[in-house]
Amino acid sequence: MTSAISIRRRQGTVPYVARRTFIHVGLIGAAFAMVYPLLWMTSTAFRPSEQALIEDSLWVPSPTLENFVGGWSAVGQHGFGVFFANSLIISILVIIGNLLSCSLAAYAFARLPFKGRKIWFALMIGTIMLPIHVLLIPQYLLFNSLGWVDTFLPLVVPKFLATEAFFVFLLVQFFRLIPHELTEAGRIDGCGHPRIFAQLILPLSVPALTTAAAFSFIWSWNDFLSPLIYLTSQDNYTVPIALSLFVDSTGTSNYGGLFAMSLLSLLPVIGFFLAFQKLLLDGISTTGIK
Amino acid sequence: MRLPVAAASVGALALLAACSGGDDDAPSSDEVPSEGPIAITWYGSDARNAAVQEVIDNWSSENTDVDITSQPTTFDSYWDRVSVQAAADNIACVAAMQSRYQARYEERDSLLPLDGLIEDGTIDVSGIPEAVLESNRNDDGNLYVIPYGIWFEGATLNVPRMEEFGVTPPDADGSWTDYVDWAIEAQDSFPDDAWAIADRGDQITQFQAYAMGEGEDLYGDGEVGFSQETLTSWFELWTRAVDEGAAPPPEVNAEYAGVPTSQSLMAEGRIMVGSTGDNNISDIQIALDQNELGTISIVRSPTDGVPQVVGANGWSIAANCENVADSASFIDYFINTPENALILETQTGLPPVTSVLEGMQENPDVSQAIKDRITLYFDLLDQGATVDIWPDGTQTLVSQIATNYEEVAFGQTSPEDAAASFIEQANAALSGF
Repeated sequence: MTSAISIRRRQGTVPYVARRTFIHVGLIGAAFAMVYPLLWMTSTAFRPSEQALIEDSLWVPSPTLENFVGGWSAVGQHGFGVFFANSLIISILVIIGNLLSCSLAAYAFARLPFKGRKIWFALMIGTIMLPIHVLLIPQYLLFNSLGWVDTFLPLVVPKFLATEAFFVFLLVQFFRLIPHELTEAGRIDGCGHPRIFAQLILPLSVPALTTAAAFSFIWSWNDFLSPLIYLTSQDNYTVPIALSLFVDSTGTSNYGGLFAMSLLSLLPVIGFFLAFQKLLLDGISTTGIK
Repeated sequence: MRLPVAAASVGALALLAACSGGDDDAPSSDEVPSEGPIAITWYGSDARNAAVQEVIDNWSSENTDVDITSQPTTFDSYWDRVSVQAAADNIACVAAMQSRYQARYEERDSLLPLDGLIEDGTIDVSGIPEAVLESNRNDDGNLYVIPYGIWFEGATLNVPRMEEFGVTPPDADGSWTDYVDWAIEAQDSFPDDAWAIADRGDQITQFQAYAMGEGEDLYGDGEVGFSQETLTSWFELWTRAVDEGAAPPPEVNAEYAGVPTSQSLMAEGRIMVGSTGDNNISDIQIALDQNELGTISIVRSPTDGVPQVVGANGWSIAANCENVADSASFIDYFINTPENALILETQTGLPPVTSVLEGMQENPDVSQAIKDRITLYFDLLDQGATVDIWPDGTQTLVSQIATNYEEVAFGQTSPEDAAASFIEQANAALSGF
């Protein structure tokens, strides 16, 4: 009897192991295919520029830092230090603006009863469907009349006015999950809406706020069109605009410098993700945004 | 008889008035604003931008009282930005234009007519060939754009490489049909991974050369200037070249689509006859030299003897500019200073002023490749080349013809249907939709 069971187990084990091995090999292969472009970009950044688009291999026989040195100062009079600083300033202000304004708007939609709330919420959600190209010229006319063109203001000020409907929606979803008993208890203790928002809702919403901050940072850091339109002086350019100057259809391009600076431009995004990884995943899983 | 004579006289006068330009809207230097900062915007890669910036810095050092802002960006991004700026009358004072794009801004009054500034000598255009300058003139009789760089596309030949395989080069004075006929005959002499001719079926500039050889042109009056039969025969010409094995198969073309010219099949020595812009020749030659794969030469586009067209990058002054005087001074400096040509090294195109070009030909520091391009450019002018100004809205047709041809090449549609589809798209673009 015992030997019969062990034989069945062995017979069952062999296909199980083979199946698991097959699945793992497949997954590793798929993962490698996904990561390969990033790895290739990394290795190309350390390759001599003239070999940039020739080599498919990830191995770099004689790595060099010349792309980093040359690329850092290849664009503009002040180099990439200024572009990274500009991107960082804009991204940080965008995060602050989005978190402040969107959380306030979300609190209103989630917790305050007011006339036409559902209609206003639907209208707010509807703005997500407006493509930027529709808004670009009216917004440009407005900001130009205010004298804001070639400053960071058109990229930052709207973020303080809860114009990112996606984040409002995301935070509304999260705020609705917070038990009403908590806020009722706060009201019994004499809290008004400002204290309930600041001392109850916000501390309980850190995962959702982190998610909003992460997306704000990534979108702002990678944004190309809006900075292109509003920032005209080289000294005000952001990293994506500066990177684009490496590749132009009308002339030769410094691909080595492009990949080196692209690699550097990824570091803040990766760093942000690593630093807030746990909160970010919590926020995504609890708001149903996947 | 009197009526035709009178009509002809009126027509001649109208033509004279149009050609002389300088209508009432074109202010002279006494009538333009001359206070405040100027912004200069143009397009290009990092290397080109650095060269233009050096010229700007040199002008700035001689005009220390003028506050200048540089606004370079890439070619594609540039037009996105300028189109939005134009909607708000906020274009930079000195704005680069290109012959394929400028019509939109001229016709929407975004640019200042420059005839007044030309007539009083603020901008000296006397050194620019008349054919180049006048073909740049808008239909309203005004000149809005002063060329600063000329470019043209031609056929490219790797003669030494052909001779390696014992093949006699094709006659460079014919048409694309002659080239394809030559390629089909010569292909047997080349190895399997090399082809006699590049597939040019997706290139609108070369189709234009073909159409001109057929007595037609790319654009007519508010609609395409060629027949469906001509475009169909163009597509058939290249499918024949591919089917006969004289041009690379579509999957190879797809693999090489979008790679830099320095890594194209021509640069790898695997194509004997192709076509490209004159400014790409140096990059291709550097790649060929690295592997000792021959020498590239450029000849005029195969128009079957009809004068070909050239393109021009140019400077304009925005209608909203508040310091026209200094903007005009900068343009005059940019195009007429011989030292600038040595700084720019033709990265923005061949200088428009004949004496500057002649100076480059005599300069031992200028490469032979550039001198050859200048010689060919002079030949093109002698043959009657003019600047080709594209109507507004037609810029997307560059990629549209590529899409239509790829469908033919991969057997998804017939040449007739692809030609009809392209003409429909082109006419829609020309009508403003």
